[in-house]
Amino acid sequence: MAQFLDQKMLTGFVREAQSYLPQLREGVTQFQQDATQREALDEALRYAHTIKGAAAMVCLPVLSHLAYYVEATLEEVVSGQRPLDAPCHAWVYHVTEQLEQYLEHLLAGEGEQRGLVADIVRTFRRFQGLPEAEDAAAIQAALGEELDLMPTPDESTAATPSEVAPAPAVRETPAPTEAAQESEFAIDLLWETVAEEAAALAALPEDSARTIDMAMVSQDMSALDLDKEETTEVLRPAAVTLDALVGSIDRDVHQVYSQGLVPQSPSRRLDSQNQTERYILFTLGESRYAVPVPHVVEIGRIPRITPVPNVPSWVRGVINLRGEILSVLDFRTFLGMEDMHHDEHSRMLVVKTPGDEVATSLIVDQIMGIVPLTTARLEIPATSNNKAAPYLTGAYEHEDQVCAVFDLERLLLSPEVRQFE
Amino acid sequence: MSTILVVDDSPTALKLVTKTLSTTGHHIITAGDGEEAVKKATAEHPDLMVLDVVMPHKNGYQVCRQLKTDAKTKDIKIILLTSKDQQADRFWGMKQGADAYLTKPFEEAELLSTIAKLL
Repeated sequence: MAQFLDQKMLTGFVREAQSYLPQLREGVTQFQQDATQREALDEALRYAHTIKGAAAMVCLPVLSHLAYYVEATLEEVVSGQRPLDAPCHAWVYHVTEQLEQYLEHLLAGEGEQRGLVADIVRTFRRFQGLPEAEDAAAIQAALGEELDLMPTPDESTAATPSEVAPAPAVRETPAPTEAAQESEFAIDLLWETVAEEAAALAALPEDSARTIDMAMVSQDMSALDLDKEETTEVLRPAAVTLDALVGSIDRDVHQVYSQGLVPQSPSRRLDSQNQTERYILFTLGESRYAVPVPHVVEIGRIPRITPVPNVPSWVRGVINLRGEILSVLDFRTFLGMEDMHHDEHSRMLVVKTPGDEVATSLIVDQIMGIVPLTTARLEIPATSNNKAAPYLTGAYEHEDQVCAVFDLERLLLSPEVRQFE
Repeated sequence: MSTILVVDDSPTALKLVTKTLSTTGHHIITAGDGEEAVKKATAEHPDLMVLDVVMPHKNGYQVCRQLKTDAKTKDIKIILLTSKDQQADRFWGMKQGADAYLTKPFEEAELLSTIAKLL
């Protein structure tokens, strides 16, 4: 990559970035005023992403880092993990105006701009609810990426990426083979993913889902079999005992029973003798739906989603679930229901049918429990969601409420879903 | 001499990649968004494309998928060059049929050697 900044290239980049920032703000405002303006939000995200990428290419890593803050925030909005409320809107406005100042100073030849960078880092951290105690380290980390690449008068006209001869590489150890490099790279990626997962889990309230997730993270780390210095530190939140796990599950089960979601009635215990199929019951809006248990691989909280651009809004993106990449479909949005950001009740159902090569993650509003559906099968209610109708196998009455059952095979193998999986 | 189509919506990025490739002696053509990329790829049938991902109208994934499923263009080698650097992004990119996936900021030597391998 370029080793020195070409003044002409720098000026071109600054003008380009300056043209994007007002449009970025405009897109965010349009979406805030009218949530159907999804394209405006996608466009705003694209501008943030382009500034981040181009800044990195012209050797402005600090600016790239700051643009990443905007991109990450808008990605959270796009993937439904954050509402675009007044504080979020105000923060995007504030930071993009500061980026405009940064660009102006850059053109004027003021390289580092410590005060401005520190202010952006601090406001981002307050907006994200991150502790003030770690601000100084975060600011240092942001500024630490700045390289001394501003052109000297001689370099500004002479040096170009292709003309700069690379410095001879100094190697103290034999060069690793390509395969070894790839393998090391893959392990590092896995390690980062698992460590991020452990840190995120540690911040969640303690319940059995968290405990089980932590046990899985712990298992993943053991499987990586790494001699990493930070192993102990990262594993600490993931360390669980069997007693803790059982105790945690007991508490959850007690809570579910005490709320009456899955009554322990004798008739329920007879269901298994009648070979009744069991279903995961969940809600989308006011409606209850169910999917057969054998098709559900896992239920969990919604992890960090990597948005995929220019796909329907119901494709939230992809996630890395312990090394497996899954598409994430927002069931609510897919069925044409009101687009809402996820809350603490939202869960993902990881589902896989016999006809599927890979699993798919479906976001639902709330999991109600595992239920056997034994009462008389009903006709699908006429008021049932029109978009859902082609994918339903029938409806059952459960706890005095109608519950529609999805045919997951029909849904996941449908051309509409298939093209984005 | 081969023809390489460079696609990026950022004029800065487009200029930098083009400048890097100018040393190779290949014929370089450019496009500024996904739709233009598909049109130029179909009309001019380059040997290789260096394709950005996040672009207006059609993103790089869509362009890649469209070209790789069309008998007339499926033999065009495609390098996705993007600042989307997560493992999931890489997976998604390769799933669209790309021949290589590189991230920005790119290493000049890595881009040139990847091109040399594919041509």
